[in-house]
Amino acid sequence: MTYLAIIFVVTSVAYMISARTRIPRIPVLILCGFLLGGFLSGEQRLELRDHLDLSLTFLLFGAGIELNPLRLKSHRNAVLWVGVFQFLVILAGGFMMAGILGYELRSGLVIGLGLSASSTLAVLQFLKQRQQMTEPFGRLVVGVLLLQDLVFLTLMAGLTRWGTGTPEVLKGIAEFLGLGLIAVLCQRYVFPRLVNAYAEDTEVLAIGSLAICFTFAGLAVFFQLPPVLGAFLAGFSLATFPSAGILRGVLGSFFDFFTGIFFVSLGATLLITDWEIMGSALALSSVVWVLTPFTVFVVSRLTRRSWRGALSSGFYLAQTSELSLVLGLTCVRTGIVDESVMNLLTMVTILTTLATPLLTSQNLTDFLLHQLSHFDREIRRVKLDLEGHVLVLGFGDGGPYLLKPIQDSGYSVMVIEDDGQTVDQLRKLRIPCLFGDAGDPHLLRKAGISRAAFVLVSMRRFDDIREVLKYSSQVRIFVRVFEEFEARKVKALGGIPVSGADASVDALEVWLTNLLQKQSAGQASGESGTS
Amino acid sequence: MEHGNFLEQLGLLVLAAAFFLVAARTMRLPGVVAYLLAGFLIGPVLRLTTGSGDMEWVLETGISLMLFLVGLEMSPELIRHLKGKPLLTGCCQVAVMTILGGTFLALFDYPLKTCVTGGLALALSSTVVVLKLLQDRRETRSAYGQLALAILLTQDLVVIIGLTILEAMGGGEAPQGLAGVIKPLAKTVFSFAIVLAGCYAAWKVLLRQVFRWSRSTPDLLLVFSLGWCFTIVYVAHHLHLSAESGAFLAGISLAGLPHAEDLRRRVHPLMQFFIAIFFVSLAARMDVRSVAENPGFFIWASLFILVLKPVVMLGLFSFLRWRRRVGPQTALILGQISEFSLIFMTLAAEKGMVDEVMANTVLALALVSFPINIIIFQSVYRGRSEQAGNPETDGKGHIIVIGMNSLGRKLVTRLAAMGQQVIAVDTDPKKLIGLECRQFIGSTEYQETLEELHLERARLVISALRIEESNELIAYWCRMKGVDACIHGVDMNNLDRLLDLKVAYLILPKVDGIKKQVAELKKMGLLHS
Repeated sequence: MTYLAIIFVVTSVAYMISARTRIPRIPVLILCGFLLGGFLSGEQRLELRDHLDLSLTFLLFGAGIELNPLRLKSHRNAVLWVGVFQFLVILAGGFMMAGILGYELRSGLVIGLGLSASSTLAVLQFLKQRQQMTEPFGRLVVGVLLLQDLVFLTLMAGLTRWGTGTPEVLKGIAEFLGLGLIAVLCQRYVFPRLVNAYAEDTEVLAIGSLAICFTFAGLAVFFQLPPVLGAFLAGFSLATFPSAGILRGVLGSFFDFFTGIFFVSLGATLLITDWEIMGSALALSSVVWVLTPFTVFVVSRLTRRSWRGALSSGFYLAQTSELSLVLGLTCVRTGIVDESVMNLLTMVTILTTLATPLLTSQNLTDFLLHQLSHFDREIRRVKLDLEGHVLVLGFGDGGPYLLKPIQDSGYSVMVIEDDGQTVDQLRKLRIPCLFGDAGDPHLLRKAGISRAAFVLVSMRRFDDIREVLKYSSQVRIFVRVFEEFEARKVKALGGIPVSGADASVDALEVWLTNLLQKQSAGQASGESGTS
Repeated sequence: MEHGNFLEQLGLLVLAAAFFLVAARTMRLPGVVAYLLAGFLIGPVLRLTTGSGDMEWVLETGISLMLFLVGLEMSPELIRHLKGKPLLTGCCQVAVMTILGGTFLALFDYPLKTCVTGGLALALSSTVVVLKLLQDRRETRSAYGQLALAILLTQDLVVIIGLTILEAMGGGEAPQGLAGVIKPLAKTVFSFAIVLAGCYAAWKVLLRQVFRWSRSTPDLLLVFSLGWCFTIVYVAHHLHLSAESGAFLAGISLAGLPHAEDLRRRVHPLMQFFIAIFFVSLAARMDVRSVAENPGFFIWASLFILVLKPVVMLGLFSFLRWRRRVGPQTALILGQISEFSLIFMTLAAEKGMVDEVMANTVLALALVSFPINIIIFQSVYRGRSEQAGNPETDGKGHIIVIGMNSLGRKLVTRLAAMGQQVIAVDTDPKKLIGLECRQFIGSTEYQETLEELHLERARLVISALRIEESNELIAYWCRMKGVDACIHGVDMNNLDRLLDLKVAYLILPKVDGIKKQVAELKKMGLLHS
């Protein structure tokens, strides 16, 4: 209980720092744990380590529940290409850098694999904070993360058999995949029915799902795989709708509880005696910082992502995963590598995750976008001489509703859109459009913003809207907004806000009035029937 | 600690708990019975586990969280409600039944200290069993349900005091003389006062700010609260108070928060896991020889709990002039011993106040009294009781609006202006400020939230949230309960999923906004009509 008190006080402090500084929680938790470790004796550190196994099992179970296969469906091709390329490039880069740093083959492979996946927890936190989950690049990043987790754990199943010969390694992978197949069958045919049957009984759901977790962990042990892999597959077997949603409510606080325990305990048990490790950690982190954004950017562009989307995807994925720590810990436990590799992976995770807020900052992306715009041949070769047209910035889902009334009124239309697929569709319909970010001043000028009859804006990022509103003195700019405060800002900058929320409230009121009238009529006829 | 062993042991306890829980549900028995039977099977019967050793921190956490939750329930409104006749009834019940229980034990020649501690253990009734039974029958707000809850909360307070005294008394040896009792007691009262004052001071100086600041981030709130709970437990432990007292004080100090209810809903699932392990482990430790040694006492004690206790309580309620129907139902539903009796006797055995045999017997009595009491109650009272009813909280025909962003707030304002009975829901109390309707702080991810909102009786549920997963879940629950749902379609590509869930109306601000935009452009003459 004493340890729990200490861990939760430290976790509270770490959460507070993270919330204040907007740094992801994981590195802050590990660092706070590391500082705590300075006050602990060797025996106390060992006792803290006891918490790691249990919390790790539950953490992986929770990660599995989040692996909804439907998330992989959207942008499937891009996810596959970006995910696989990034994984392989970083695996190779990490392995080579480990070789340069003098690590032997086995450690090199563990390090390479440890670097290859990105942090699901940290990235999801950022995307949610910035409300970017539903943006095209957000969906791509989430899909890539899930794919990486799956590939990572499959390879980890083989790696933990390292030293027992290639057939054993392959057997390990095959056994993991076999267990995965059981999980898939349960996910499709068994668990949705069970969860539906007990959907309203939180007690059965909580204890039952944890029993599933331990059953799969037991099966993993039976196949001589690490139990955490079984726990992950147990979570995966429950990852579909509505099971995952219901269980998130039942087990959400449970996972929050063990997340704190795991990362603080991990930090506290981190024993760094040789600070030269920092040099190696920096070298390996550089591999992640340079190769990930570059690879993701190139592959994203090849799969028709916008400049901004491709850049953002790369930067969001440029850190190592919490799974690297799981890998390190498991490999230390099974004697494949020594503690120094685990410490190195932890340091790299801390460094790369700490850098994520900087890498994903608006300023860096804007700066690079500006530099890259010079290379945008597609835009450079377009010669436009537009006047009196309607400029549509962000076509999105609602764009089709705009086109007809504009064209019926005799205007020509120019669209700027950042989603490659939408642009392709528009071009098929022979609607003039530019593929790129509508917040890009160069592109706005190219589209003749100042000579347009009026501009219709439907964009997600307010910084882009602000850029457009610089022309509000020259042209009427209508901006669709959702929140009240956004409407106020648009007005202050000279634009004309159109509130989607207001429009929806009006539409709903009409529907609701009809519904209430029907319900009252139904009630009245029921009463007269009774009387 | 052997890592594998700990996980294996825990896995075994969880698997057994789950198996028996599902079986118990088919017989409409509460979880506690299932856990005790599960522990009994894998412990004394199959000897697969001893339920002890490395599991200690898990068990302690379970008890602490349970008491933390009891403390969180102690809102100022509840304390006000407890005052007067319910409190008097509760106090009388504990006093009368403790004396009777003690006398009963004295008849079997138990020493005085066993009679006092054992008497109190026999007097208590199970909060978990009674609450679960009331919830299953949807009678929490019935007149007898309210009285039962008042008595149980009074009992909880008495247990806290009892545990505190017990902690002070112990040390392996029984107290010697009056000074031996008074000295540790005074020390305990002093320590208790220090913790209480510390809680209050920390609340005034630091915590109120911290919690106010963290209220918009629910997981931050949960971590702070757990940090606060375990810190007070730690301090209490160092001041020789029981961990349970510390957890209770930590809970009560947070009960006044505006989001205490939300916090309770978040801690509850966590407690459910730890307390399940606690009960399974407790039963697994049971030594059946203690029952076999004195079967006569065991049978008489069972009869005392199941028959005499309700009869005496019935007399007491009549004497205190409770309504005719309220008295018998309350008396019968309280006819078992409490999970606190087990905690209390375990601690008493640790402190040498009672012997292990007595602690084991109380455990066996719980195993017997829980299911039998439930079966008796269910067969005597098959139908539903009249509900006390509270129009303020027992909504019917109301409209629930979830997510107080601009859309949600505007909807609430418009619906309220239309004269509808609206409940505005959000996790952030700040977003509810200024709305002229009933407000509810909580996340709809938690089923308890939906139950408390009386989703099944709502006329309509509207979700303005911009979180797809939450919206899909709300649509799912509405379909399950047969309630019309209006859901915000955040992503136009995923509307099919919402339509599959039979959503009555899709709120599409993107499309509605464009239509409005076109209309305004036409009005301004920029587009042809």
